[in-house]
Amino acid sequence: MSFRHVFLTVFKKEMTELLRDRRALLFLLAPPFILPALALCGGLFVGAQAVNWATQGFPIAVENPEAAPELAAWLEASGSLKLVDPPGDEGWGDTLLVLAFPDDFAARVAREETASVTMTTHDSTWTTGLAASAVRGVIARYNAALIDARLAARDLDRSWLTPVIIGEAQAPTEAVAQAVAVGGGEGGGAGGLGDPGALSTLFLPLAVTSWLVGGGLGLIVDTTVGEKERRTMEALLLTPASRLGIVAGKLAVVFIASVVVMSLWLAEGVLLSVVVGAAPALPAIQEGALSVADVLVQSGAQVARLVFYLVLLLLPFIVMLNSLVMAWCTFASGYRESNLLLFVVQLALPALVILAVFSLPADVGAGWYLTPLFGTVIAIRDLFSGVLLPARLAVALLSGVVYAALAMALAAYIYSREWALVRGL
Amino acid sequence: MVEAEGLVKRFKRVTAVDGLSFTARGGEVFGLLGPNGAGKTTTLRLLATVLEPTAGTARVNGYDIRTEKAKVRAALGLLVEDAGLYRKVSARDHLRYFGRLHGVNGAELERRVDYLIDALGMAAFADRDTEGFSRGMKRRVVMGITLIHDPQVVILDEPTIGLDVVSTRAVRDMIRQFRDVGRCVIISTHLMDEVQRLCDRVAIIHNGRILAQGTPDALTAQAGAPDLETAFVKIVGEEALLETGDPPRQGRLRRGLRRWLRRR
Repeated sequence: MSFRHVFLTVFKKEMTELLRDRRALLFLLAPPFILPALALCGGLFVGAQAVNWATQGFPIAVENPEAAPELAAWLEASGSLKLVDPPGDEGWGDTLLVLAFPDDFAARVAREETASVTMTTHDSTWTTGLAASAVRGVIARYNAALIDARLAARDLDRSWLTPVIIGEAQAPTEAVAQAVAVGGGEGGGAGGLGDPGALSTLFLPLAVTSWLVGGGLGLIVDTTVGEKERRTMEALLLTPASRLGIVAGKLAVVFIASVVVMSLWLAEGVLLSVVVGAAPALPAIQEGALSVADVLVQSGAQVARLVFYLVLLLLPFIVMLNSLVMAWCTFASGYRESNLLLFVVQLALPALVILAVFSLPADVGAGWYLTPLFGTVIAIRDLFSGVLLPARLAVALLSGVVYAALAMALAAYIYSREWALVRGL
Repeated sequence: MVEAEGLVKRFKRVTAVDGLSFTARGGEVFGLLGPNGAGKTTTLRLLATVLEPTAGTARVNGYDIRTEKAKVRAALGLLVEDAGLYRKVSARDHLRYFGRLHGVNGAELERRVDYLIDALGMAAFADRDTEGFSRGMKRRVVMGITLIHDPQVVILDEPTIGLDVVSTRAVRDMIRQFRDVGRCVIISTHLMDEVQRLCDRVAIIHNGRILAQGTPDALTAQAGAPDLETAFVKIVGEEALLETGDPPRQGRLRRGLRRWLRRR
């Protein structure tokens, strides 16, 4: 019986079983749709609430407003605050916070001394936080007006208060200049998603390794240790089919599922990135200097290059990870043991990224890119930072392919060992 | 057809099979009888190449279980006691899947599938996913998987357990048919009635060793008992039967913890 025959038989059966299992498909494919939808709903809800409060004004109470009539007038006129009566015995009601002015407030201001106002809150919800920010904003503007008046009385202007300022600029390093193009701007990889130090360079590698590569892990459990739990393993082992063909057929289904899930996440990421990347050009669009299509094409081109290199790095990474998990799950005697490993993997992947992003210098030696798993993670970090050199991309990619092949060989080896297969039978 | 020579299987400190030798010929039903933990299932798994013997060997249809595993697997069908099925695959597709993995394809495969569906009474549920099948329905599908490649040697562990009367009769008829066409059938069972009805020869196993073997009538006469059940109890020993159970599966850590708790 040929390898191809066994591979196709196992692949067809596993794929058919997966496609017929609606619940498994739902749990596999739903997260890329549900999580962003939930985030969008949450964002819209919070945004609508914030707009609502800002339009109507956050209800705050002022105690002893006669002691600071000018500031009380500023608070009332701010538009974002609505002054209400201080809370009484019946409780706080809608009141979010209370400002209390001391009796000597106006006198201290007049004497150019520091006057204090007490802000009391009764909870720590986000609306109270927003109201407190609005109050701080009004008081900051009031402070600025007082300072301007005091400076004017002394024939001074605001620049007198800031003798030194810092002007910031960013020159592309050699690494950025030679990096595989991810930003599209001048200076090679700089710009867009590739801005070194930007939040995206910290967050995206974490999101990529946590969400993108994990799609098929649950399936591996079902196709390996699931055979033991269902008591179908023995029937499979009793066939003269080659173990390599069986492993390859199962891995192929898991790999396809992982790639489908990865593609869904990437499609959403691309959409979001194109929109976010186009946002800075909004004023130019409004002025008619740029068309929406031009901006979207430019932003899309940047993201497409990034996704291309990301997929190149991720494909061997997914094969290696799936194969390692398959090797373990074949050895595991039951779901409990395999789930323990999945738990460790889910913790270890973000930990690897955090290590790569925070504890390694930006310019690490080429040897780091040869390390299993970690090398790819560092390459992904560099890709998002816009400093991934072509030679290092090649090292990470080739070593990733070699490790993926070794991991597949390990999975096949374990699948041919009696001591692993009969555990739990 | 099946010749076991000094088969030994050890799991760490436990010796499950301890120098087992027997011969099961073509055209006969050979029974393995023994209490729980006697080593019957381990013996069947050794013959089926699922387990590797620690010592000794066996030949199945002329092929060595150590060196010619693929040929042994092609010549043999094993029905294990607690075999399961894939939830989202129909009974028919189960037969097709395992048939293909045994190298049966095309029209021949479809002919075998149709024959087994008919012979095992699966027509009413053959195209339904096996999720929700009763134990008897599952058992019939598993039996079909065992026989899909038309094996020369059939090894059945508790073949009629969980089956209703009609299905039990169908399985027993099928076993007799196999014997009648010259195939070798080895069954392991606790049902003395089944042994009496089906087996041409029987081996009684205890602690991984064969205590006695022969025809059911010869064993009964040898033990001076009125029936096979009484003969079995006499041969194995009443006390030994009370002591037996599944071999302990406790790990070293758990055994140490127990000892420590006992001391406290």
